[in-house]
Amino acid sequence: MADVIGTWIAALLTIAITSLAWKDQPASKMANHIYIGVVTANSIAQAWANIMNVGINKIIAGDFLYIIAILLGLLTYTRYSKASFWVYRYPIALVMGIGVGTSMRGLVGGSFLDQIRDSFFQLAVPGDAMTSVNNIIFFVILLSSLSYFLFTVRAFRSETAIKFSTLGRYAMMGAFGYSFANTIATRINQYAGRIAFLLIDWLHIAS
Amino acid sequence: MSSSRTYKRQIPLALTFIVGIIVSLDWFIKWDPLQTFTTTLMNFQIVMVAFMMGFAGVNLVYLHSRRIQRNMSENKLFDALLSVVLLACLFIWVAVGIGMGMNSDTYKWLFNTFNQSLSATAYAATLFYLASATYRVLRIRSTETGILLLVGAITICANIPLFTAYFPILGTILVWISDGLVKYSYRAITIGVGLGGILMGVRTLLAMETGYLGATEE
Amino acid sequence: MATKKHFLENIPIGLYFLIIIGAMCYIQLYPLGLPIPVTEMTKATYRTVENLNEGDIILVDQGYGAGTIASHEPGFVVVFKHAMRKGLKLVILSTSVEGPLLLDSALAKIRPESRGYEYGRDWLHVGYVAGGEPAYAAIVQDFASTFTVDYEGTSLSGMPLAQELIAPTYEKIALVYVQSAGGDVCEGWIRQSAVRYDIPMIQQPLEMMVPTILPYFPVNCQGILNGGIGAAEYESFSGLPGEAVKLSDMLSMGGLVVLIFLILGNIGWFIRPKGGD
Repeated sequence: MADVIGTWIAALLTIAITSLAWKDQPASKMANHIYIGVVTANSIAQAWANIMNVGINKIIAGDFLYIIAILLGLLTYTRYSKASFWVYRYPIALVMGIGVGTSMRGLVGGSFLDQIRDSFFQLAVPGDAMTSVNNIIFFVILLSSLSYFLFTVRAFRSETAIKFSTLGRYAMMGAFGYSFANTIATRINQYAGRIAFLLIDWLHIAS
Repeated sequence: MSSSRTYKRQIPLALTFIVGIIVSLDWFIKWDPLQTFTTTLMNFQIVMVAFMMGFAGVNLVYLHSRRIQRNMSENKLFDALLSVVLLACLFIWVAVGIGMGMNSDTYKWLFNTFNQSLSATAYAATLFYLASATYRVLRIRSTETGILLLVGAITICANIPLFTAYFPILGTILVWISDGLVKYSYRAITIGVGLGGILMGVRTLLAMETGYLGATEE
Repeated sequence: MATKKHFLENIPIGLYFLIIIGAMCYIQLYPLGLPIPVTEMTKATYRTVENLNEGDIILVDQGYGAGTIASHEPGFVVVFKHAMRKGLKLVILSTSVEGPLLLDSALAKIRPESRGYEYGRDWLHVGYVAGGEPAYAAIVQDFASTFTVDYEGTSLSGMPLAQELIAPTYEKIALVYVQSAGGDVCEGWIRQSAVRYDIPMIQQPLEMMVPTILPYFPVNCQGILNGGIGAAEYESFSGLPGEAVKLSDMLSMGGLVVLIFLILGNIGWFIRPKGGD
């Protein structure tokens, strides 16, 4: 019985949210507000579980260092007080430092060195003209796309350089076209899941 | 005044620098005590970020409480009701999730009925805005948009088994587009973003970017 | 003065939406069942899993929410089934707040117990972890320092699989499998596991995030599943059919309608008299 009621509520909420695309009306507004409330609440519940698992359970197990973590977490709520706002800066400074240190060390390798290393591929492959032509085209695309972002080097303001970077711009537009098509595919896939739910689980007219 | 500026601003900035350097050093120096310390710091991060996830709830309560007051005074009863429903859902879900546990049958029923359908549909319904924009706005007005739409159309066709079943060449073209055109164009963007990220990180550690401290007098 | 739009540019938008929904509903009721071409990227993903040895551990970030369940759940299910076929072990965590609650739905389709898979010995679920990239780094360095209990609250000290992940955890993980709607999560895992420790990795971002991850293929990321399309290809290639194959027909029809209207809009724009626009 609970499953049947749940399916009906889910189906009606699905239709209410979809109707937002046609017109903003009371049903869609209500569904939207419920959505914001329940999603935020779920985040809070999960965060609580995380604090218990990673923080409190360790303190109970005897690792009292995590008391500092819990205290720092609680101190973040001083941001809501004008007088003690400055206290909030301590935990946020730690969060920023840890975050920046962690991501920066990987950026050098992942987004920079490995990318450059992988770009040094064999341009001319003996006996395979098609692959050779493709490799040359791709290398030119890479260089021209890179040159598009060089704004501060005087040599790249010449007419030849501008034409070369225009080639990069065209290549990037092609890439954005691929991205656009994939975005449509993503949304269609997600909506297909909702249609499948409505037809199979709610109306039982499809298998 | 200067001593309050020290503990309100300078010490947090110094803390960011010290912690950031220690965490970065862990990448280069293979020393067990350092690795243990940085792992502990990262676990502290998990706990602190989990606490910060409560900010959304606090902000919602503050915002919608004021809306209820304002809408009631202006006699906009439906708008007030919307805020009441939002806050009611927030409190009920939090109470059940924390009180009964997220593994309880009640919470799972609430999640599967409300969260799942609402999240899935809210995300999926953007299809209509995208489709509407595609139909009304995307026009071949220049070489750039022409290339964008041509590659986009080919990709859409190549993702449709209906076309690839009769025109297998579309698969080959799609591979050329994805493994060549897209990969190397986005590689340029990735390198640029990587450089930008490194520079922003250095600026943050050197206290040249202080926006994260919040805007106050000191 | 603006010129009058051609009728091809002026088809009522409500009708357009109804045609999209109607076409997708029709194909759900009367599926075409067309063969799905499999790309090299999906084959590379399959081979990465296939080349693992029995008993190897896969760290899975089931980082999807209800918004992207239609794409990600089939991918999770098919890779889990493939792993079971190979006798691999899985440790599941989630960087999405909704991920742990969606696992039941996926497990109902996988039924690990039907293959003799025992929880705690062959697979493990530790739930949601906040913190972003530092959390990934902490998990890969020392799993036990971050997780002491599983998602149900049971201590990990009694679970054989958790004991296998004692520091240095990066030496014990054979593969990292990341599912996420966000490019920052995918790139974060690449940096903290693949770049730092050379751990093989496969990813399933959403279709629209794939271009962001493509530069890392195959240098840091040995396989990429192109969202729901990639999941359908994987199901087809591995001989483990599932939900994604069924959804691919609806993708075909929806995509076709959008393409037709895109072309109609541009034809209408080209053939209307220009001037004063």
